[in-house]
Formats: sequence, C-alpha cells, structure tokens
Amino acid sequence: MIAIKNLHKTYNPEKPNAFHALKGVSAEIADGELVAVIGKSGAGKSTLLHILGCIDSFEEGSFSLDGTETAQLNDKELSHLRNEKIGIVLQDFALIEEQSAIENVMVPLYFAKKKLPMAKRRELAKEALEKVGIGELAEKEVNKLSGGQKQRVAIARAIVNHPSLLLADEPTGALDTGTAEEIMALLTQLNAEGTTVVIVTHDPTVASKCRRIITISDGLILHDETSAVQ
Amino acid sequence: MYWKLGYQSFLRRLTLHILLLLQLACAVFLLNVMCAGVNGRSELYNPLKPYLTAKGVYFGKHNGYPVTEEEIRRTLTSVDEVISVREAVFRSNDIDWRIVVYDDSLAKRLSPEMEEGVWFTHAPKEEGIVNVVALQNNSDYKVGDIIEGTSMFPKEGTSGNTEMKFRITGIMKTGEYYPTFQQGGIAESVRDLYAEHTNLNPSGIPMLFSSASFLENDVVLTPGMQVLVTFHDDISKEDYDANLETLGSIGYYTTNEEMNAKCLKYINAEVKVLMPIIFCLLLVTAVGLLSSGAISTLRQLKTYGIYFICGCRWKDCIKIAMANTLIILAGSVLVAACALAISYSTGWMASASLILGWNNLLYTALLLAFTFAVSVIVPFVLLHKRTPVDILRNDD
Ligand SMILES: Nc1ncnc2c1ncn2[C@@H]1O[C@H](COP(=O)(O)OP(=O)(O)OP(=O)(O)O)[C@@H](O)[C@H]1O
Ligand SMILES: [Mg+2]
Repeated sequence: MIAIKNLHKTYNPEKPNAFHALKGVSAEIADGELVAVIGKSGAGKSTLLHILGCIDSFEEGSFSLDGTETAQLNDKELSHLRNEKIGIVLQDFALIEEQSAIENVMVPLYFAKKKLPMAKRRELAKEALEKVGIGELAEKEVNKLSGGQKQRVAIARAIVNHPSLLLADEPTGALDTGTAEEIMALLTQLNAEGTTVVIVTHDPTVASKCRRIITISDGLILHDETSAVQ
Repeated sequence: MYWKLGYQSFLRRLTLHILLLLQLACAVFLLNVMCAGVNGRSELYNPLKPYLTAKGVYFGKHNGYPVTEEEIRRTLTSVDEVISVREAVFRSNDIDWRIVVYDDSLAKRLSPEMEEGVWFTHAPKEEGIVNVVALQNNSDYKVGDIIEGTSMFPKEGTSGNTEMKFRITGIMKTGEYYPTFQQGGIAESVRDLYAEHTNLNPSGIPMLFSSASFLENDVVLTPGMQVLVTFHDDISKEDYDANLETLGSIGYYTTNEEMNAKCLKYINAEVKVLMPIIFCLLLVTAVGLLSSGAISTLRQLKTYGIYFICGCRWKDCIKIAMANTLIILAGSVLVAACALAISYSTGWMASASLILGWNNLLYTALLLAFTFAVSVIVPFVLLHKRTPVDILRNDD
C-alpha cells in the first residue's frame, strides 16, 4: 500500500531556475488498485511517478510503501526496494537498444539481492517475455523491434522480479490506437493478477479503463475519483 | 556483476573501444621503446658514471708507453682512484690465454650479458681458483670448467712459472661491450672506452676476464696504455690545473667533466627526439580518452539510468564505468606487451640497442595510472553532476 502525505518537490532548489513541481500532494493507493494519473503537460505527473518509483527525491512530506518510510532508507535499501517491489515503465521505453530483448529483461536480475545462475535468469526473463506475448522475439535486438514490441519488452523487464507495484509513464504515448489498446489490456491483466498499477497518461481512453482517476494540476491534486463500475 | 556489465558496455561500443584500446597500446609501446632506448644509451655510461662525475682525467702517454698507477700517484697530487684495464697471460696446453684484468672497483660495476653463467664477481670464490668469464663461445669449454695453466709473468720472489687454476663462471654474449681503455688519450664518448665482443677472433688468442685482486698477488699484470684517474673531491684549483699541466706535457687527456658532458648529451639527444613524440602521443591519447571516454560515457549514461531504475545504486554505476575502463587498459597493455615481446624475440630490440629494465614497468604503470585517473574522473564527474532522472528525462 502506498501512502503519500503533503509531498513537496522543488527542482533545482535555491537556484534561480528553481521550480516547485509538487506543492503538497496527498493520496493513498491500496494494494491491487488500478490508478490513472492525468493532467496537463507540466502538471507534475511524471514527477509524482518518479517519487513513487523511488528514483527521485522530495523535500517535504512523506511517502511510505507497505508501511516503510522511504525517506528513512539508505541508498542500498532504496535500490533493493526498486529492484524487488517496483517495476517502472517509461514513456520512451528506456531500453538498451543494442542488446537483445531477453538481455534487457535480464538487467534487473543482475542487481537482485539473491544472485541467480545465468541459466535461471534467462529462464525468468523468457517467462516474463512470454507473459507479455513476445516470447518468440527474445533474441532479437531491441532496435529491430516495433514500438509496441519495445513497450512489451519494457513491461517484461518491469515485471521480471514480480513487483507488487507497477508504474507506467505514458505507456501508450508513442503507440498507435490499436497497439495502445493491446498494451492497456496487458496492464489491466497484470492488475487483475494482483499487481498495483499506476499509469500516467494524457489519453482519456486509457484513463477510462482505470477504476480510479487522479487529476493533477499545477503540482496539486485537483480530483481523485473512484468510479463504481469500470 | 561490475565486470560482467562493464564487459557488456565494452562490447556495446566495440569499434570505439577497440580504437581507444589500440591508441593506448601505441602510447604504452612507444613509451617503452623510448625508455628502453635511454636504457640502451646509458648502458655503457652507467658503470663509468661514478668516475666521470668526479673530477679527473682519462689519460694516455705521448710515447705510447703504458701508464702505471704508481707513476700517476708519483707525478700528480690529490689522486683518488686510478682505474685501469690490465692484462695477464698464461699458457695452457701450448696455447697462450690472455686475461683482461679489471680493477675491482670497476669490475663490480660491470654486468655484461652472459650467454650462460654469471659475471665473475657474482660467482662464489674458492681458495686457489681464479674466477674468470670467457669471451669466446666457439671453443669447447663450458661454464664450470677449470683450466689449468702456467703464468708467463710470475711475481718477483716466486721462482719460475706459477701454476694457476681458472674457473669459467660465465660466457659473454656476442655483441656485448666491455671496457678496454684502448682509445688514445682523447675520447669522444664512453663508447670509445669499450670494445664490442664480436665472434671474430683475429688474434686467435682465447680471452678471459677477471678481477685484479684475484691475480695481482701471484702475477705481474701488464699495465694498459690509458687510465681513468679521479682526484679527491676537495682538490684545489691550483693542484687541479697543475695536474693537467703535468699530464699535458707527457701525454693526451680528456677531463672527466668533458667526457661526462658528452655522454649526457649523447644519452639526452635520444630523449630530446623521443620525448616530444611521446608527449604528443600522450596528449592525443589523453584528449582521445577524455573525449571518446566522455562520449562513450554520455552514450552510456542512459544505460546507467536504466540500471538505476532496475535497482542498481548510482555509485555502482560508476564502478561499472570503471570496470569498462579497466578492460580497455588491460587490453592495451596486453597488445603493447605482445608488440614488445615480438620486437624482443625478433631481435629488433637488440639491433636498435634497446634495453628493457625495471624502469619500463615503472613508467608504464605511471602512464596507466594517469590514463585511469583521467578516464575515471570523466565518468565520475558526469555521473555525479546528473541524477538518473535527469538523464532519463533528457532522452524524452
Ligand atoms: N530537472 C528539472 N529542472 C527544472 N524543472 C523541471 C525539471 N524536471 C521537470 N521540471 C518541471 O517540472 C514540471 C513538472 O514536470 P513533469 O515532468 O512532472 O510534468 P508532467 O506532468 O509529467 O508533464 P508531461 O505531461 O509533459 O510529461 C514541469 O513544468 C517541468 O518543466
Ligand atoms: Mg511526464
């Protein structure tokens, strides 16, 4: 379960170009929820997602993940948290283009606390790729894949360690409508299997697939609505 | 993990990294060649350095008579050492053997390379047996052989010929230089004070080398034509000038000061030519490493950002970058070492009188440390100034 309280984030603090991106955001997200975060460009959606993903810091407020205050964790503990509990999918896929799909999916396994033998890593990565429906593309170099396929590789990498929280920043932003729908179907399926999923999006159709929609504007939560039916 | 991922990084920009590797290998190779060149040029200088850096002269007489230590000490003032190369002759199996006899002070500074065995000062001594090094390796004697002979000029007081035993402790390599002090009183450089051991044996006389202290109690040593004289440190200007004047009236001399200056000029001439080349090369390497290192790091920054979101600590990303650099360094050392080994085994090094020494390792280590420092500082600075989120956002 995620609990954030009065989160403040300022980019470049104490510099002329300082920017107050989050101005006191509070929310709770229960396990197994499917949440869309929407809002205008520059509203602070990605900023929030990065903080939830423990890849960026904040100055004020609190963020606890499954009861652990993340601000109290050190570098090492945070990196283990990212590795074990959180899967992140970024808008531009953030893949290593020159490597094969399976090698990309294996990356988180390098940083796992428990070092698995290479064969086992391969096996897990293959499983994740099959789960997202591209098991047959495992050995293909990423730069030879289509946008939709890349996004699937990125999702496979995010779920290879079976995280309880999956964060996706504009997962359909670069895709055509058909492919976008497939990716959304994949994310909702993962959610149905028990993963908490938070999706940042511009796309109303994507948002409409989520039971809960949080609207952010100018660094603050404007609406937080949970619809009764999907 | 660091090595595996560092190696993956290396493979990812293979051509760039190979290029870098070769560039560095060139620098390492040339540095070693230069160093070996200086070693080679100093080789003949170093044994004589203590004498040449002291006040003194290299001297020979007008009339071509030999110079004895006794005469030098008698005619000059404030004499410290008189270094000479003398000779002894003995007969064994109806053959005359010539022994080049070095004063102990000089003998222990020499270390010509041996075909087998060791220089005579490095071998254990045995009562009644004189350690010698043989010059010719075309005869049938071996290291450890004992030659029995009769001295042709026994010391006064002993009656008749003296029976002596010589043990061969080493056989000198062809192409090595040994001091002879045979050049007339004026010497251009230390090279003039040496002879080269070629396999030619015009006189047909077998030649050996040994130390004065081994022989002078039993045998009269024939003095050489020239000697190297050093004066005491505190010799007065008047005494020094008077000494030179005396010597000038009976022979030719070169002052040690002059000869030393010439030697240094000779050794440094090489450095003067090679140093700028090495410097330029280093500069090119450094700039190349800096820029290509920076480029490859910039290109790889995104990869490190990806590692970060997948659960790698940011400082561990630096370690991965370091592993990548170390792989390049190790590769270049390997390539340079191979090139050096080839130059050595094909005899090119010997023919260019290049000599590898411990200082080669030292300078190579310094070069690598410098390169490592430069190429680690770059990613370090780059990674430290930017947060992973910055990097991943910039790629948006
Ligand atoms: N490193 C930074 N330095 C300064 N300002 C930043 C930095 N990163 C983001 N910002 C600013 O913070 C604000 C929020 O950024 P954020 O990326 O969270 O917006 P967003 O809602 O995700 O927008 P978009 O829909 O365009 O992705 C923006 O105005 C952005 O310009
Ligand atoms: Mg954004």
